[in-house]
Amino acid sequence: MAKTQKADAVDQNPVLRITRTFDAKPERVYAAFTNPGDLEKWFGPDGVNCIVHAIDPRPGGEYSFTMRNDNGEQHPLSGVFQEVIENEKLVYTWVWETGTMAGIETRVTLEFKAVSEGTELTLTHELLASETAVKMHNVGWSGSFDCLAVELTNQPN
Amino acid sequence: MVKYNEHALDATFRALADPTRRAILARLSKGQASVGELAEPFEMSLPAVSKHLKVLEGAELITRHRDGRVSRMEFNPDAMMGAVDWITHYKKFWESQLDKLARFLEDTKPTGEDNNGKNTKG
Repeated sequence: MAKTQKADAVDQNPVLRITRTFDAKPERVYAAFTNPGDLEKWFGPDGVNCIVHAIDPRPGGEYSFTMRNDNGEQHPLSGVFQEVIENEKLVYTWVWETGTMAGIETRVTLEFKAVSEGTELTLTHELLASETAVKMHNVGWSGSFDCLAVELTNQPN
Repeated sequence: MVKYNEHALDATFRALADPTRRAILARLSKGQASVGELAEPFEMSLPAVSKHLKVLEGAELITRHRDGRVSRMEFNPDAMMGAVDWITHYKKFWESQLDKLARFLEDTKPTGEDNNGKNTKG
């Protein structure tokens, strides 16, 4: 598969960032995220169907999906587009309506960059839980958070 | 199962957004310590350290044990799992999603699409 993964790391901020290169033009990768018919074909974890109720990719436009698994469990997801540059950039909020993450506002940023191999996609998912979380992004975290997380996983219960 | 409670996440992040408190936690992750022992490497007054400890206690990142007249602090890693899990949860989610996206793009590749602007015939 003509796909490379440049980096995927937990930032020093509590932000998740993943960069991948896809063997497709930015137009196609962008459409995969904004065209309901495309999105339903790939979005959602294995064994989960994604039903797109609405998707309005323009600033202030809303989207709403339902993830439905094989057991019939339904998990609605919705958000608002904050920034839309066709074939280049999408920024939208992401809020689950049910489950353990219910009501926690997060933000997804997708950047589509044309490269010789196709498209380099950079995905950033960050927590916007509250004013504190946003402020905290500005404070900047030292690398010790990562070390601590590693130490934690090594700790005997 | 850790609950992604917004309030708890908030308290965790606030508590962790300070280098002294992170250092205190790193120290406590190696074992219990008294307030005095914790203050030592920081060249800080005991009241200043106590203030940091209160924030950590509020976020339930540490627990205080009374041992006679001495308080000993213990690290409670479970409280941090909400914050750590949040990232891990989405990391797994997006990794698998981008795998699926790659397959989707492969399956729907228009015949003769040329991403490189070069002739790919042959």
